[in-house]
Amino acid sequence: MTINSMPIVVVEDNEMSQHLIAFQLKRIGFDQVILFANGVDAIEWLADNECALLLTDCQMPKMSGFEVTRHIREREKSTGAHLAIIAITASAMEQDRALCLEAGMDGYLAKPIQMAAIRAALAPWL
Amino acid sequence: MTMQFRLKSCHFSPILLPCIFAVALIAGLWSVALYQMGAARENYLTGATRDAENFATSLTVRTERAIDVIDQTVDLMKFAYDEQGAGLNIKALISGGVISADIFNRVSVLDRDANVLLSSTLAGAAKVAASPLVFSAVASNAALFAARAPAGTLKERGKLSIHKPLAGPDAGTRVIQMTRRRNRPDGSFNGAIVAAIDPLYFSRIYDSVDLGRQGTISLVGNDGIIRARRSSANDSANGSANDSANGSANDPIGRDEKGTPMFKSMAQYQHGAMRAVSTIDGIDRIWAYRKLEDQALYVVVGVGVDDRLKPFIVMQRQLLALAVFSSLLILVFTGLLIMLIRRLGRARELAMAESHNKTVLLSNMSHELRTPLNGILGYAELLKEELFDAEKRSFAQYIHDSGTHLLSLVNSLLQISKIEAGEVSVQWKGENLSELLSQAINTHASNARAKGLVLSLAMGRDLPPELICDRMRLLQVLNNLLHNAIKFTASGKVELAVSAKAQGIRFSVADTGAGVAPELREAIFNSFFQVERHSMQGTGLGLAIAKQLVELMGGSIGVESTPGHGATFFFILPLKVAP
Repeated sequence: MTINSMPIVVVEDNEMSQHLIAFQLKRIGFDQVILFANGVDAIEWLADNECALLLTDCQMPKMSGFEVTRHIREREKSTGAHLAIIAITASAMEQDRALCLEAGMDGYLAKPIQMAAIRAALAPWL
Repeated sequence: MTMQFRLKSCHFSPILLPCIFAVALIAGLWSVALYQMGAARENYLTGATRDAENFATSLTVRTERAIDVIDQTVDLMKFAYDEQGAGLNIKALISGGVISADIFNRVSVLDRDANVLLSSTLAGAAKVAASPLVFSAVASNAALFAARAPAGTLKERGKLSIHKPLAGPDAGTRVIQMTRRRNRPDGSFNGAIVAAIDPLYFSRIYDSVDLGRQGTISLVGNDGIIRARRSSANDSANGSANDSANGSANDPIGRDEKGTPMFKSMAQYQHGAMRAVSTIDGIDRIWAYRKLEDQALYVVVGVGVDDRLKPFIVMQRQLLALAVFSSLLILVFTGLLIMLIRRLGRARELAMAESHNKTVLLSNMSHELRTPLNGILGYAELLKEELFDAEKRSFAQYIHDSGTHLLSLVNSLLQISKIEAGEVSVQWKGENLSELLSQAINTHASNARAKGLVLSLAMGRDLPPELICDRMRLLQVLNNLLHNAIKFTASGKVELAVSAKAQGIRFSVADTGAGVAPELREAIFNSFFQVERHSMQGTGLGLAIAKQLVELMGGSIGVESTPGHGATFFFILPLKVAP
């Protein structure tokens, strides 16, 4: 199973944003995009499944993107695996980028998200 | 938390300063006032001492002269009696003016056993007549005893002895007896001439001197007994007369002053001065004394301390009032100053809090705006690529451009609000200057090319290869200036030039656009200013942000322009030393 045959997981509570990112990823060439509206469902799914990349919004009800990341990193301690996690955030402040990296994320995409930005953010992991 | 702390910490220090200043001012004021008062007081007392000493000197001379007058009379009597014996007519001497009736109460000639050989009650002494015998006996015995007493010191001619005051013939009166020894032809003791005078004789001399209300003059023997005294304190019109005539319990004449510190000092020195409280009337005085040349007598002048300090006390009162008034004034002004500082502090806090709130609001707004902007820009971009009809695709492009513009507005607003709230800091780091400048140029190359403009970079000599700067902020300033230059230049060129100056590195962006009118050269750096107000383009914030960022980096920004011939925006960043 190559990395491209694995799906990309997107955690995003805004329906329009979900729809848009799915199309944007499809345009780049990822047909397998699994969408979750909250972090809890995503973590549950990830317990039994694998994915190539995780894109997650930061501010969400129930569980924030940071918490999702911390959960995954905690779980990875026993397996030694490393899932690439890229933040999608509407907070465009400089310190937000630092917050994401601190939480254990690997990349950062600021809204509004443009194709070029997605390509650049995803390139190191594919 | 940090907000609270900052507000508190800037509350205290500005108030402390005026407080310290006020306290120092008041302390200085009072120390000067008190020092001045002390010095003035010392001055007055020194003056009083000097005056008392001068009076003592001049009164000593006058007293000596007065005694000489008596001595001459007594001496004359002695010779007259030696020549004429019992036949001496004293009355004739008196009527002839040889013996002054104004001075003498009585003149007597005594033999060696103190028997009165000859005596005359003088006209001026009607009071003596009341009991002449009693007086005579007392006078004679005492006088003789005294004339005889210091046997060793009795010389050929002898010396006038001035005795202790005695009770006069009338109740309350006093007399001072002065005696001169009479000798036999072989020089042995043969009696005495006794002259009795009223102490008023001396007092009168002293009356002519003005020593102030509490001034006193006394004639004191080295036996400590006061011979005569004048005190103005209880003087009335003829006070001196009452003084000696009353003979009340506090009559000072005849008092023994031996125990006083004044007398102890007198016993050692011919003249001197000191301050002491009078044992007679309890008045604090400055005393000066001087010994008579030929007599064991001292003239003692006392000047009332309160008397002399009266003008000082008036001055002191005025000075104290002035000091109190000044202190109150300082306190009032300090109070007002503190109130003002407090009010300003509060206003500043409010402004800071408001600024912070504004930033929070804008920050939240920006966050909220990004989700719809994400949709607009994201779908517009997808749409652009999916539409094959050129016109429809251009619609999508307009949507995309508008969204991009909106996004840049949101970003600029947020940034300027943060700078104004003091929430933006500068990160200094060494950067490769030419690489940084190339990046700035490259960012705008395609835009310039699209408008047919020549975009060039000119680097001066003596530029450091590495510049300590905040790369992101510096690039943003350059981008804003280049962006504006390209936007407002229809044709020609845009040049970014960098050179080393004495004040630092000068960056300039010159264009061949419309230029900036002189009256707009300041306003152009304000938020939301736009040269072409109807223009759909331009954020109006680019220059404002550039100015704020340049100032944040310690530099200054400006514009030179000839309207119609382009404008040159420049800023100078001071050179920083590597941290």
